[in-house]
Amino acid sequence: MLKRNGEIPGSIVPGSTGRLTTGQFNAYTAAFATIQPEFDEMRQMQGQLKRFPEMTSNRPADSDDGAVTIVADGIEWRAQAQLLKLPKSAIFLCRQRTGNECAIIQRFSPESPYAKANGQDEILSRGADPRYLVGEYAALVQHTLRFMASNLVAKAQRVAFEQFPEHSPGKVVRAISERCLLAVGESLTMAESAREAIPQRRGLRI
Amino acid sequence: MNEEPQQFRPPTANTTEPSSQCLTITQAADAIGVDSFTMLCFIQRGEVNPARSPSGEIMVPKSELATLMEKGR
Repeated sequence: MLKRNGEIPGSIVPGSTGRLTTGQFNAYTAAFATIQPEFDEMRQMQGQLKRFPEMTSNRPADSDDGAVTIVADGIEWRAQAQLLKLPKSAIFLCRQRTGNECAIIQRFSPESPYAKANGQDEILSRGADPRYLVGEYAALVQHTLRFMASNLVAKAQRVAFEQFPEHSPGKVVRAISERCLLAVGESLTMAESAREAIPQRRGLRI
Repeated sequence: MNEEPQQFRPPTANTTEPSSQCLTITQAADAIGVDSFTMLCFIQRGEVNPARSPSGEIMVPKSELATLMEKGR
């Protein structure tokens, strides 16, 4: 049987078509462990991005029941949908309480030093067309997830090259890169579907 | 079989910031109580000028964090 570095290439890892030797697999496991928490966070966000369409439909826009009220830039906003829930903040699609303008607003945890310094709520974008706003925000999230994936690969690369230089770390990094890119590549379709699924004429019905 | 040629090598350092003056994305985000995702958004919006580690990992100079914390003042 063909051997690579004296080892039988055999292990298959998620998202990669190649096989890794035992040494490479151990390097892969160690390097991936350093990015696992952020990788999980990235995948969780990808899942939320997929749910953008359902979060921006099915509820009456005029209902105040349980709606979060946010005051930002001196304007009172009513949250119509929670687009993203992150560990330390949440992103809402909001509409002016007395008006038709919409905004994407990030609400930080009140205990956060950033929020204490700059305020708990931050308007990310605003405009008249909620469909456009959410579509643009979905594209931004998608872009940031790619950015996040690329940074995770760089982080794993350091571990692979420093700790496992004898186990073809380039191949190990390629396998990790493929897994990360696959994880965020799927979000492309999600962002596009979010943009397509949001009602166009009546605004968002929550 | 001979050792497989390594086609992928870590990039050389291109940061101008000493590593002791920089934090990883996670460290920087934790320092000001935001998520890693949010820190990357700050970078994308140009509110933070990042540096890079020798392996290509994005780093945040501590001086940039201080600026970020004062932007609302």
